[in-house]
Amino acid sequence: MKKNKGYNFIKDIPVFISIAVLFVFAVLFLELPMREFSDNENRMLAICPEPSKKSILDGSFQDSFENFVSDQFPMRDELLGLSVLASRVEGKQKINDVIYAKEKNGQTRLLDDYKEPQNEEKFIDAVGRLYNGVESANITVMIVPTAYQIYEDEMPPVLLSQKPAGQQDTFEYLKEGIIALEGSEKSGGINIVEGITDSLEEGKDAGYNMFYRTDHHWTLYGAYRGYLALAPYLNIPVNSALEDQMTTVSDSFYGTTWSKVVDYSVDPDTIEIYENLAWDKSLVVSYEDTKETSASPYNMDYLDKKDKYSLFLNNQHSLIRIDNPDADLTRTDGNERKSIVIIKDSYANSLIPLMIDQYETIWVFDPRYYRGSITQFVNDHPEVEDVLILYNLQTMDNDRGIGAIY
Amino acid sequence: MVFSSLLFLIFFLTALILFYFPVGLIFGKIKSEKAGRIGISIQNAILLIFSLFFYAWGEPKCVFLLIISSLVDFIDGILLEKFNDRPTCRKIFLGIALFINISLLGVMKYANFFVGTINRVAGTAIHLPSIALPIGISFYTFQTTSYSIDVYRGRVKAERNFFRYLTYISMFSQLIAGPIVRYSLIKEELTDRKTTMDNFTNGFRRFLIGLFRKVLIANELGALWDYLRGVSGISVMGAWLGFLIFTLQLYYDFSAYSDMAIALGLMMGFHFDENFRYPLSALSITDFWRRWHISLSGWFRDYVYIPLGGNRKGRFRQLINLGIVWFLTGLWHGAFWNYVLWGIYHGLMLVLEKFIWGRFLEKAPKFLRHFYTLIIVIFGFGIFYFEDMSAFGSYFTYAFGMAGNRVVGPEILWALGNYLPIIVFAVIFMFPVFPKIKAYIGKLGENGKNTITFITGMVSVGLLILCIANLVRDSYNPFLYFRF
Repeated sequence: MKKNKGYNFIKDIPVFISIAVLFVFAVLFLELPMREFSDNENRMLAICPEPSKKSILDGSFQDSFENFVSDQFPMRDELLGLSVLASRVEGKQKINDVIYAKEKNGQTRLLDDYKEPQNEEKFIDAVGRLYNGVESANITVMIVPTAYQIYEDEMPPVLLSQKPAGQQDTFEYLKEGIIALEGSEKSGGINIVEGITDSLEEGKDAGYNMFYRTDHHWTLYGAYRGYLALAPYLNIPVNSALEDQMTTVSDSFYGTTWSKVVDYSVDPDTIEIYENLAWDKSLVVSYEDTKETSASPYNMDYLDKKDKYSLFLNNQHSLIRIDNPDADLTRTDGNERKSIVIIKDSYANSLIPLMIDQYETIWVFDPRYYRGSITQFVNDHPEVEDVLILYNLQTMDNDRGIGAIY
Repeated sequence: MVFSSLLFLIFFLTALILFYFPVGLIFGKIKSEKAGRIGISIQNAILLIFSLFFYAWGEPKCVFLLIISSLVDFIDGILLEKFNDRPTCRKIFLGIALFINISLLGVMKYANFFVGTINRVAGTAIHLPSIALPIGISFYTFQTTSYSIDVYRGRVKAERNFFRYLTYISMFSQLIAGPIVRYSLIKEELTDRKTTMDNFTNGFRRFLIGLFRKVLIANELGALWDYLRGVSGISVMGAWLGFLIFTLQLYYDFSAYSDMAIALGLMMGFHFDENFRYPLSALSITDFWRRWHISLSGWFRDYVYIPLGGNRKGRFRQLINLGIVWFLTGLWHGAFWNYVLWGIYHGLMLVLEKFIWGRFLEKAPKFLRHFYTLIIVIFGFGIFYFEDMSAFGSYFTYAFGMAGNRVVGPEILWALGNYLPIIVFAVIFMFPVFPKIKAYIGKLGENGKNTITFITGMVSVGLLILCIANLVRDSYNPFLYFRF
């Protein structure tokens, strides 16, 4: 054997590979085209900031630059997946605020962690303002639990031991707060939809999937159970055949919860929609902000994209008007109701199609984007007899539109 | 900028490698003394530019403070030498330098704290604009101070080249989180050091180890500690597990930073002293302080304790001196009373060990001594953590079961269920396992050693990519020692 007294190159090869790795990332960063939008994260990515004397001196340029580096990092999504994989191997059950739950059939369900609400008063206050401002329409508030509550039993016991206070408590708190608003300035109360959790549990027990396993939204089955709970408050006769009229339009949906872990070992979700064949003839869905119209509440273009849930009501719009001249206006109390205003978060996007058959006109407001006063709008449209406020417990707390629902 | 950031790894470090090392290799090839000097000058210039950029990235305004502070001690050093035969003048010059250094630290770091304390005690309402603590000021003012004192004492010759002096003070590797490097230690390497493949690769290997300890261990422990201290109604055992986890986090975080600092220095041809020697395996508090943040305790010993008279002026003076040293050690860590409390707590434990139970401790079995030390240390870091006195009080109420809380709670299950491998790993490697493995490998002979180096090196490549992945994953990456 040759005696090597000098410098041994072989043993240092890994050092040079490591350094090469750093250089490769640097070169890829500089050479790859910058991305403006991340499909996976569903957000705009930071781009290279413009330095100015002021921004450099106060350090804001440096901060934006570091955001730019991490946002535009080569193979960002793949690296995220690698990091999650390592955490899974270590045995972590909760990664990036995503809980790995297991369905009874062994499939993985990803649950968004539930953060105990902090801003209940803000919501109650906003509902109160709307209530005091609206002259004649009935107001119904629907607050939907999240998958965290409905699928608690599928969570790893280790995590369950430390769950935050129940969503039911928050619901009761909101209910009391809203009831306390009543009788202040005018008679007639606010309807608060109860029994949503029970209805969802029933659907779950009947073998339907109430929430996407990879997304924070409810499925159409879940939305249908919500609709069953809501119907009595609006005196809508329940169409119990709906559940069997749903069609699967995608079996490759990876939602926003999945995007936080980029874990391909989790099976994708299916997306179901409900369509009434009669809609083709007369239904008009008008997106007032973009001036588009459609004969369907679904935009199937989204099936080719990552963000497939956006097919429901064509993603986000400040105001949508849905006209259905063939709607069945009969109500269980014998009256006719033609028109409703819905103030909502994205959960409503999959529930609204189920209500189309019962209203001549549905106005859908997203207070995050709608700049006018919704109260004023309702008062200017005397044909609007109902106002529905629909949020899930988590967006109720942190949606920046909440303050603007009146 | 921190070492464990994408920006540092991908751009700063690669650029440094690209500019710094070829210079050393090229000028090292030329066998002439003059070429060597020019090479070092160029490398120093590159290092200075990189360091100033590194610091200005985080503190664009305070970079001038750093330069002015360096200039003061640099001029002072020259004056101290010039007036070699005028003891009074020298005392005045040293006094000026100390006054400026201490005032700088006092104003930038402690003004709000002192005024706040005065307001509380005296009921006054003195208002002060809040001053943001410049990163690293606690470290570099200690370096400049030690320089002036060493020149005054004649331990080192004053540096005559300001840029060289500034290169030393601003050197990015230890500028913002230590170790506190004394001028005497690197004086020679500032003018004469070798860029060798061995230094470079050994340094880089160590840098990776530091990076792994920070990103893969300390950050994970940090997330667990964040969880534990957020648990409402935490159990007694849970609270103590929290103390342990925070201690481990602090140790891995801070010593990893020192690892990386020493490693970067080595890559560039500098040899810094170790700053941590497995402090959590210490067998007494006295032992702990010989192993924890060695450059800081050494600084206080040489520039405060011994000048005050140390133990040479009787038992009473010694106690007073220890009190001063540990009050200041605590205060150095942050302008909050919890740090002072922590310092005094450790001072007290040292005194008790020295004068009361040290003799008995030495006779106790090893595991008992280790357990005793660990309990005192992790409880101490509990004090250390809470800057907010009410959060402090509440957590400690739970730690002693005085809130009617359970002894064992479900949060322990949660912690172990999610973090067991990390905790086990962190506990094993708080002992000097690594040197033992190294010694074993050393026995394998040159070939065996190289094979192991190669294999672990390849594993490191994978871990490096995992570190980058983790950094991409989360922006959760604060270095704990930034506050000091």
